[in-house]
Amino acid sequence: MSLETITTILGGLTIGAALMVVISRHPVRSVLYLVLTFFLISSNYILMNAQFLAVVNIIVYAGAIMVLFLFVLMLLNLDKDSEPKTHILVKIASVVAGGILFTVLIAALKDGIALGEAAAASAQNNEGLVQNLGQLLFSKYVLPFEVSSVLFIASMVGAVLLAKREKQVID
Amino acid sequence: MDALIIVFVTGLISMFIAMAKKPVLVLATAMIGLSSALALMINQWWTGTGFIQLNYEGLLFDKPSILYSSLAISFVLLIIAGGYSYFKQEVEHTGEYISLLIFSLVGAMCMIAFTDLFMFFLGLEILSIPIYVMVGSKKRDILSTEASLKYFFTGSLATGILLFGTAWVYGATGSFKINEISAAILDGSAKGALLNVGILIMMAAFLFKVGAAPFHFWSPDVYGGAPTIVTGFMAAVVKLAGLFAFLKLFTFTFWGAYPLWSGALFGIIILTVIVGNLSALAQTRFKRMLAFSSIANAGYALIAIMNQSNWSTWNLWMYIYGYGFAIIALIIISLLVNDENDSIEGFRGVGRKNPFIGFVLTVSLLSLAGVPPLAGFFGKYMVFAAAFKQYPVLVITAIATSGIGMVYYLRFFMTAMAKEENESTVEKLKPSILQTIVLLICAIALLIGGYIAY
Repeated sequence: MSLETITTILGGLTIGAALMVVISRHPVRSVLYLVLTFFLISSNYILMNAQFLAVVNIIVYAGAIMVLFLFVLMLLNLDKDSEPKTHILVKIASVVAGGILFTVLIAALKDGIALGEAAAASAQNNEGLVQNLGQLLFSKYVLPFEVSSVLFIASMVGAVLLAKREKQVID
Repeated sequence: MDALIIVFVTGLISMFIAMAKKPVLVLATAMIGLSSALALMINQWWTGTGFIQLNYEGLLFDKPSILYSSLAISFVLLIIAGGYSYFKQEVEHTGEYISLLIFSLVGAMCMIAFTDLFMFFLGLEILSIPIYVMVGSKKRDILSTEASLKYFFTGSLATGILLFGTAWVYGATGSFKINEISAAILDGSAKGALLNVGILIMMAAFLFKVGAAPFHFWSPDVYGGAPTIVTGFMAAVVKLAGLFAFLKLFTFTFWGAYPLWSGALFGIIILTVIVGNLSALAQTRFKRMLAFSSIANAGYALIAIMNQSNWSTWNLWMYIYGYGFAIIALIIISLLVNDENDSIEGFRGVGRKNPFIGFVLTVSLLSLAGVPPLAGFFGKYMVFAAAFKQYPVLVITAIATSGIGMVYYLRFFMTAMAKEENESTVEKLKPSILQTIVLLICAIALLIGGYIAY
């Protein structure tokens, strides 16, 4: 099988799984399809020679975030009855707006095909490897890397502030 | 750069020093740290170099960045000093409140001085995440929790959209650096449709962050639910950072695509000033009125971004200067009034109870309304005058709607200055020494603002 066939099959599967996320009526099933989508996206990354990204995608998204999603959904116990009813006009409006956006994005992507071919021709084979990524991260992009620690400390402090149990006030 | 490091370290120290359970220590650390950062900024403005020469990819403190960063640091200084009476109510959390605000300032400074989109995105997140938390910091108040959750969800969606737009722009230009993007757009090597979609998507996210009209629905609830002092922070510092990043990214970086985004922005500004001012008319709660007034003010400030003048950086700075100091003064007065329902009626007779507060209230309201000798007028005047030749319709709409704005500012003013009917319930408002100083600084800044402008 040529590489092109593999790419086509993988791409089709990815789009199909992503569509199933939206189409499935049951929330848990939807999340499981999302996990599948993430795995398929990771395999696409591997085809593009971006191993590190593929692994991180699985660990962070499929692993941590999706499990969190599942837990939340199971705790929330969503039923048909609790679904908010939307007005038919709102539905029509959102379909029209979404459709217009979709058309514009597809039309714009047509330009991207030529651009993508040019980029693929000039790309080096080892660009996405962990070694190159690490070297870039600690030389050229060391400042954004370090600054992101501010983000982490701020969110940690914030999480503690919000989650800490207050002393109960007895009225 | 050295100022940025000092601000961050100040945040860290004030977080850990809070373990001593002495709020005053936290306040002192924050004040000293931020003042020295401000001093470093001013020094760098005059000498042109910082004490430590640090140049990394991603951040550059050039003159406009120094100007805006200094203003942001001053706002945070005033907000922390003025809000200290609120922060020390819960001794366990004083350090966290103050350090989160300072971390947010670090984000604002990154967002002001960025030279590539990595740094910009990090700055935006560092700015936003502490604010999501601070909005919900009144844990016993259900409105505050609701506001926090609402802000978090809508804000994360906007961040996602921003990233999506960034990916399109990167795809079209092949770079994250703003000068390379700008060059690629100008020499035509960037592909049309990809770039256009990217720019418009990024613009939508930006308009959400500054709270312009079709993307403004979150702001009344969030401003109304947040603790008063956080509302002030959002109106002053978050708007400042958002608007300057908007200016830097659109007026300078996406310069080559001006015809594309200026058309969209034109309609949005008209919608924003009309919706903001008309909705503010109907409000009976102070913070909600402030939220709609901030929407309208974002609309006026966007006019500075629209027009192709070399002075737009300076005009926008002057505008935010007038707006920020007035908002901080109003927020601190509202903190003093401390009305449970946060209604405008709660301010009845405030000006008579304490003439000094009455004076500061008058100055800040008149400045917001745009009455001549005050800073707010000069800001509006400079922005409008620069744009008038190119966009007469826009400026005329803006002036007409700021006439509507006059109505609710003056109505609020009349309420605050009205005679109390029941004299016996009058109790004196007692601002602390710190708050008096902050109010005084705000009033002086608003009074002399016009002289800075010239």
